[in-house]
Amino acid sequence: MTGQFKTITIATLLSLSLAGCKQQTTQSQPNTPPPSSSSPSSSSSSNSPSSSSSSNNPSSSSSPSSPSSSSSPSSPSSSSSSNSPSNPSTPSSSNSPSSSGSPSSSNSSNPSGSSAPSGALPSGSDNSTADSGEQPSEPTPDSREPGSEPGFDGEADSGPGESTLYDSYDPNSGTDSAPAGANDGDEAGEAATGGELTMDDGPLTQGSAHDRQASLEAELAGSMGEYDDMILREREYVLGRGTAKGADEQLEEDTPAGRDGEGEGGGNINPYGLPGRDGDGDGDEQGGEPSDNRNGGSPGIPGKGELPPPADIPDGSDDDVVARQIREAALKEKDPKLREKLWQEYRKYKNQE
Amino acid sequence: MNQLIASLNSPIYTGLVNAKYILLFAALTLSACSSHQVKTTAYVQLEQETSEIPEAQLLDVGVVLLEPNLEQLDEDEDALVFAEVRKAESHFMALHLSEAIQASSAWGAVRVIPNNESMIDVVLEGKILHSEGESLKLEINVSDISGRHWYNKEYQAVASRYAYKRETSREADPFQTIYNQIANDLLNFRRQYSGQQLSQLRTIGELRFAQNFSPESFSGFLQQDKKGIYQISRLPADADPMLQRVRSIRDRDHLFVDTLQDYYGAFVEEIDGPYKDWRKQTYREVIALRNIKRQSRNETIAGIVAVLGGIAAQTSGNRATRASGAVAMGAGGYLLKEGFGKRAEAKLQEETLRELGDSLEASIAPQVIELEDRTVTLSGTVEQQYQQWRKILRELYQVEVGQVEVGNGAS
Repeated sequence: MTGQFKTITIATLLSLSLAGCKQQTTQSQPNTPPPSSSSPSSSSSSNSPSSSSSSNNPSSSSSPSSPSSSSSPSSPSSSSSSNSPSNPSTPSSSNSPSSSGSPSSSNSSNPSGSSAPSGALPSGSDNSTADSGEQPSEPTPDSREPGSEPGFDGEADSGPGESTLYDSYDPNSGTDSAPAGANDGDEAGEAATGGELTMDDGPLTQGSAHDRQASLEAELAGSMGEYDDMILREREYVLGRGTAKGADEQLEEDTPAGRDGEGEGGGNINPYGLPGRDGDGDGDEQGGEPSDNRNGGSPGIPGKGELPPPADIPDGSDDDVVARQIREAALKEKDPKLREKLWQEYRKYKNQE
Repeated sequence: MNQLIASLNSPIYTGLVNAKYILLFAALTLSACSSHQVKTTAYVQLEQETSEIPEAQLLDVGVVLLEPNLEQLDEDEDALVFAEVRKAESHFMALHLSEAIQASSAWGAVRVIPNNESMIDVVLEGKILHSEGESLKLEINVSDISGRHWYNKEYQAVASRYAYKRETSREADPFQTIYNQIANDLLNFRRQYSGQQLSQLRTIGELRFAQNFSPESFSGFLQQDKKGIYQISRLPADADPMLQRVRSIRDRDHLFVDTLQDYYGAFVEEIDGPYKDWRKQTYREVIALRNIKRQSRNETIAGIVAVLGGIAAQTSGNRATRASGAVAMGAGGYLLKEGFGKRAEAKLQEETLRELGDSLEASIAPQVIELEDRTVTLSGTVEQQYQQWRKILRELYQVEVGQVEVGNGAS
């Protein structure tokens, strides 16, 4: 009897204890979202972690506040380092090619400048979350990294200007100077709130400012190009006129005297009558150039202070008056840019012929 | 014999002798006056800088087209000044002057510029006070980009007769001396400046140019003292984007000035022959005219004096004196006639000079007009372009400052 009583009491205790355990599990279920309340009780203990991980998505919506604050100290360093170079890079890259390529380079520098940070920021945020040691954040880096990148990319596209808006938008983050891009990465989730509007407003104005700057740069460069062309035409006109006049005079001089020789042919054609005009067409300054080019007053040979023509330029023995004028102008031109344009003109003219 | 001696002592003979003395004296005076002619002139050699000057200290020089001083025409209608010739001379002389300055090897680019609005380190302005084949007189005024006035000086040169000989005149200008003197003075004045001052001048030049194009960006870099002289208060960063743009524009400005050199060079080349011929002819004619005028004046004065003396002698009670007075009056009348004759000759000579001037004027007027047209057209086009660039720079400044302000506001 006593034995039976003992067994009964043990069984009762066991059943009670089991019942108590059941109650605990059932009590724990209400903490989880309602759907889990219908989950089987047996597997509930093993499922609870998985369910918590799956339910982290919604729960993380509340947790971001902590990651954002935890990552913000770390990300500032990365974002500030990313943004600050990007800002100077814009002017510097737009300056160096001041004349022509500035707009395109300045445009391209923005994405590149901000894409570099986007690569750096995630790693920085990973470290920070790891350092923060918060449990929910530990799994998230692995899962967030790929997911967060588009967010960075999207922000990166908007350029560095957004940083300023983030500063104004998130003053409580405690990140003062560096804040800029720092928040960029962290606020990806948070952006769902009203902050998104200000973020969108900012990048748009900054972007338009950059666009405007680029268009002005392009306008300046284009107008300089037109100006160069105009000046080039003017110089060609004057030089050509002088050369033609010189050629006429030379012709007049040569006609009675005959072309007796050596040297006084084309070498004398000098629109300005600068030193070397009279009679120094002979030999010495011609260097190794073949002297047979000089018959008929052809100006094929560079004189004093003249640079030799490019390799693809013919000797000019068959030049007509216009070609000779262009050639003369190119030979005399000191500015390499203008000289090249003149040679281009010469090539074009010769091809037309 | 006694009669002969008596006749020699007679008043008539004495009067004749006195009249001869008067005439002889007058003749000597006249001949002495008409013997002035410069046969040689001291040639001033051009000084050249022998030491090497660092690039940062090489000042650019702008020689403004000389002022033709056509007011002379208004003041004296008979003045032998020809408007078109003077205009041509203002280019011709400015170009020769710039070449002389450049040849002194102490300067950066030396360019002829149409006006003093160009922002060039040193600006040399001049005025043609007098110019013909024999003599040239210029007034030169020099200042630098900081607003400091260097000096103001008049230069005069007289051409040697040999300057127009074909063998000797091929290379140098008959008035090369005056150009050399101006270049030497300029060089000597520059030597008073230290290297640092020269570098500062260049910087001021760049900043003033920058201010001219983007006053918003560069307003605080220079300040003027009470005398209006610019001083550097601070410097922009060398990599400053706006400075880079302005430098790029300045390169274009130099290109424009270089193009003007082409214009001027071609023009001077065109007028060189006729102008030198004119100078050569006027050299002879001017000397001849001056001699004729002087002779005319002296003979007229001598004639008047002789006539007056003769009239005075008629009041004498002495017969011999009266007789000599009569002779003097006759001689005076002759001299007066000669003087008037010379005056008419001088008029003819002036006409010859005028014809020469008119002839040159007619031959170079088309070139002068064309040069002016092209210069004005190009300058106008360039100025329009500059206005556009100024506008673009202003907008760029606003865009860039706008960005900075947004950035500063956010931080």
